Amino acid sequence: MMANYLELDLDSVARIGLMYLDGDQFEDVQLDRYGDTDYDFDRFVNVKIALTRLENLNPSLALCAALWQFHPKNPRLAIPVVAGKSLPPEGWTRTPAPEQMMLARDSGKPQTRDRGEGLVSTYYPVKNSDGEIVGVLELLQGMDHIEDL
Amino acid sequence: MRIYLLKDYVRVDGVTGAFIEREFQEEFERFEQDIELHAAMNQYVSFQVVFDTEGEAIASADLSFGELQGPGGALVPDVEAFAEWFHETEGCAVPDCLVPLSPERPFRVPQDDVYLPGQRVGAIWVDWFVPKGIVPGNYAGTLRVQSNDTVKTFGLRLVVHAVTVPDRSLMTADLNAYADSISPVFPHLASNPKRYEDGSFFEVEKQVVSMAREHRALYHNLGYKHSGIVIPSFAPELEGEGKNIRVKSWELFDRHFGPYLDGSAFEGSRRGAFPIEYLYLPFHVNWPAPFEKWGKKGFRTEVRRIMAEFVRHFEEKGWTETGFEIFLNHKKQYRFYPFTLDEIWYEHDEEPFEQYYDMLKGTYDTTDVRFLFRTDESNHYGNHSRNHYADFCDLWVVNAGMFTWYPESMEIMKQKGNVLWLYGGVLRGLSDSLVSQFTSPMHAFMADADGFCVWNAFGHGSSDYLKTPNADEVIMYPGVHFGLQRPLPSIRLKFLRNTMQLADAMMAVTGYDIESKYGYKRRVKDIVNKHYGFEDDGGWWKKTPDFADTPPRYWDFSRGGPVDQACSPGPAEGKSPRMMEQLRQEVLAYLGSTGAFL
Repeated sequence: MMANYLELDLDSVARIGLMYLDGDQFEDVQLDRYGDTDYDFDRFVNVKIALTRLENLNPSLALCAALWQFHPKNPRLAIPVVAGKSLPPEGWTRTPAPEQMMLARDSGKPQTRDRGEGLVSTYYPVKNSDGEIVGVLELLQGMDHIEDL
Repeated sequence: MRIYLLKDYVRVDGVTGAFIEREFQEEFERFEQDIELHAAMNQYVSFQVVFDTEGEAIASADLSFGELQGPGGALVPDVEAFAEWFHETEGCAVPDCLVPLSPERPFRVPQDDVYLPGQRVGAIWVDWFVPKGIVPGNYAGTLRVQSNDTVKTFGLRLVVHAVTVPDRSLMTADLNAYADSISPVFPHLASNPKRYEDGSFFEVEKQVVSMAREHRALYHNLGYKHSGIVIPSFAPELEGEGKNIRVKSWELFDRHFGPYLDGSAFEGSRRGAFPIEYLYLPFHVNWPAPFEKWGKKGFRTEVRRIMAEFVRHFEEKGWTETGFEIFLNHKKQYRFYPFTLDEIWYEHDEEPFEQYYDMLKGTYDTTDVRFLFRTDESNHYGNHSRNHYADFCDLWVVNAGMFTWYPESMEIMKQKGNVLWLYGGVLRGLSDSLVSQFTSPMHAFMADADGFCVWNAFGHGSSDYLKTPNADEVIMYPGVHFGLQRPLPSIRLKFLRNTMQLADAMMAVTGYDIESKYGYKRRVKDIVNKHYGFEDDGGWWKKTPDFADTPPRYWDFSRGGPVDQACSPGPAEGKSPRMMEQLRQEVLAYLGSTGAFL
């Protein structure tokens, strides 16, 4: 019997979403990773579309997705480079990378972080076409509001 | 106990009784016996009654006005009184929020057992409305003040100049706000998920908008967030997509905005019930078309089809007096979209900005409904004001500092029929001198601009606004702490209104004095220049810096750096608050003496 899309669990959604997410485009989405924020428009649009589709794969999961990169000179500093429908709870600025995010990057395996009060983040490594990990996809479950400004 | 009067241009510290505006304080007047106020007709004039308790608590106070006598006979003052609420912030106790006096909320010092228990000084703000049509001249009467066992009577002299302030503003004082910043600070709204559908949000918002209207300002509520979410009721309900997209229902949108757009929301206003001057539309890169369609033909299809529905609907409703803005508020650093279309910084952001306009082009050029494509400008104002942007952008909101680099730009804007507001009309700190706020309308007048933008008007967030409000986010307060489910004004809002009254009288000045062979407006400008210490109009403009033609990303924005220097000094810098009172008096006296503005 064919699976209903509403039966897709988090990891299945992530797996499908990551298939559509172009790691090369994500890797080079920022024009300048050292200075002020600026983007290659086409790459951002493509990456954002992939995030939006991922969020909507199984609406019953009510996922919020964000893509993170690490500062080229400081691998402990993370930047939420592209947001889906919501910013992560950390907001839009550079922030110290949580341990689980760094572990996802360093181990190449998904890591889960219980933020408390029903909010859970799962971090998935994102690879480019060379197989290098170029950032992390965060899927948030349990967001009761859209984090905005 | 010492009781004295102050005018509206200075404030006192609620603990020390010292002037908040410490610089120039030797010029400020405390009126111990009597006070002379100057006003035009159809305007408010304000003053303060200050109680320096010297440690004695005050349980109540009473103000009673005697009839004034003057050339028009008896004049009964039409007054409203407010207790000034002192905020503990910036190292002093600064009054700003104004609480209407009533039997349920009498004046007391200390104001509250929790907030500022060490308060020693209290103040009552008095708003006095001078109606149209009275005989100009000097009116004299008394004000009796009682507090505890102390009674003091002051002489009141009201000089009514032969000038009538027009009902409608000829300059826009734009109080910008992001929706929905009202609901979070009214618990009965915040806890109600149906607040848009059941109209309870509209009731409170209407009071905020009406309060702005009474204070000669425009409450300007942007209905979509940086994420692209549109707040319910700020857009019509849609259905379908692509060539089948249509408005499913205007019901909630019309229920929300209809009263503003036909003016009925302002019934009972002293200024008349005319439609709201400007309104943001929800169009942006995520509405009506979702951003996933950006760059595809479906995006353009959906934007144009829905704009066509707006044109038709607004025509049917007769909403032809309001300027409807398409404003792209996107900033790429917030991570939702790759463009910065609000105050374009990088040159390649011009491409999506122009793309959006191109999608709308031609959809509203054959209607009497007034749609405006808006651009907020700073770094690229010099380029944009001189290129094709001046042709397709109808409403410009321009950084006041960088605007001064381009004195010739205003002529271009006028020739193109564009509206231009200066951006920068905000007090950064609550204890900042009111001169900087006064200067925004004066600057707009002197530059022949159409208005100015105060940012932000109602963004309290999670701040304890009774103690330490975010001064640059707030010009009205929620009345919740005082048992009021409505907004409360502030001293800054009142002062803004008092300044706008003067600005509106000035903006109405046209014509030529045949006897002196001098244009009236030119003479008024000369008075303003004199009080600002400028030899001529050149004092309001700056030299265009050499770096202005280089990409802004390479400019030095550091404090005291080249950009700062090129914008400095601002016209308000180094000016005494007393200057505002003197300027106001001289302008009113001059206009009154001509007999041409009665």
